[in-house]
Amino acid sequence: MTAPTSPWRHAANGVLLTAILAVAALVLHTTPSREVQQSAIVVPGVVGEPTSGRNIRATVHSVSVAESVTAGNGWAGSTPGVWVVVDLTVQALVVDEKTALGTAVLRVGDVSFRASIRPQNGTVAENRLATGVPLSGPLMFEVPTDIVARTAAKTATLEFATDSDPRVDSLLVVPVDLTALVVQPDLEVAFPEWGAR
Amino acid sequence: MTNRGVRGSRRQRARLLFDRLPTKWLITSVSAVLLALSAVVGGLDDAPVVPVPVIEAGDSHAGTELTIVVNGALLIDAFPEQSIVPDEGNRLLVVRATVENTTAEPRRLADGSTADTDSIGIAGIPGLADGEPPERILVIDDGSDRAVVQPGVPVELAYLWEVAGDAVGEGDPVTVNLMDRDFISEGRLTYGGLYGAPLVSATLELALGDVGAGANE
Repeated sequence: MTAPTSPWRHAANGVLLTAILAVAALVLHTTPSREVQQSAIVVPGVVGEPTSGRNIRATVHSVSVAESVTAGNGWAGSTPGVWVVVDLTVQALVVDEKTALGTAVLRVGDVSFRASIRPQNGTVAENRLATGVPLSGPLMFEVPTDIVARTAAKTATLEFATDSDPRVDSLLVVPVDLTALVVQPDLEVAFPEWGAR
Repeated sequence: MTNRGVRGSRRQRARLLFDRLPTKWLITSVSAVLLALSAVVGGLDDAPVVPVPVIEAGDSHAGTELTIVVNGALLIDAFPEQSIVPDEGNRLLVVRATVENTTAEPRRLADGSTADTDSIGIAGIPGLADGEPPERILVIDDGSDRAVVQPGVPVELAYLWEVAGDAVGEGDPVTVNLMDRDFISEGRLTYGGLYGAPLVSATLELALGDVGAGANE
């Protein structure tokens, strides 16, 4: 015959069980969602200063808005909206194999725009990057005319990453105020070239 | 007492009868009842198919993601400036459409090389499978391909199919189908939405024009 279990033992078991349940609940309710687990690692930046992530360094030199843009290759596509033109220097830092400027996004509130590839080789969008050799050139974003005057355009952001899917890698985020810019009728931009500005 | 006794015996009798009922009869009768009930919602008739709306050229059709206006369809020999030259004896069938993206993010349109957002398909062309994706999609303004429609910015596009030169001619009818994506759900193991086969959300009939070599366009 075993000795009867002491009431303290019972109480201790109860406390232990409650503690295990509490820890389990804590783990269950604080586990990051899949979106958080896979989200991009945001590197904030400012216009005019270089911003560096894992494998990308970019500098936004200037942002302008124009009704019509002529690229360095002679391209002058028209749009029913306006062009937001970004002068950018970008390079890879670690590896340049399969590395391109895959993400170049202008985000205004909930709406996002991808840098246009209509100018073909007149833009640095989707261009291959080189490790340690900066590439400078324009990005053209085709946006509706009214978007640059929206309240959200005050806190618009430019986002850059080396892959079209920027999850679990550095995402450079540079805030820009589009409402402060004057819409120019014409804008001529240079052909993309290797070298810093 | 007697009443209760009679009721009891009746219940017992019913119970006995039920016990003797063959299971097959039971299943058959339940099925028959279900079948009879189904008559309320149309019985064994085919479910009614909602006809695809037929629109006219120039009509604007709003899909879930894209608003499309089809402007016309024509035949042309080639686009040498874009290095798009069909094989010997073939010609290009071009559908012109203005596409506006009504979502909040850019949409890459699906041509023969990618499986992105479907927008326009054609049917009724001999030698071309119905629903065959366009070989190329060009932005008419500057001739660039790999068409991406930015939110809120309508763009006029040329959808290109290569067809046999003698398969179609000027004035022949072509059916243009406006496609819509069939969103199933957010992926559980994969990231992003899962989509089913594209649906035809509207259709229109066009007569083909012919611009020959297209030099005067």
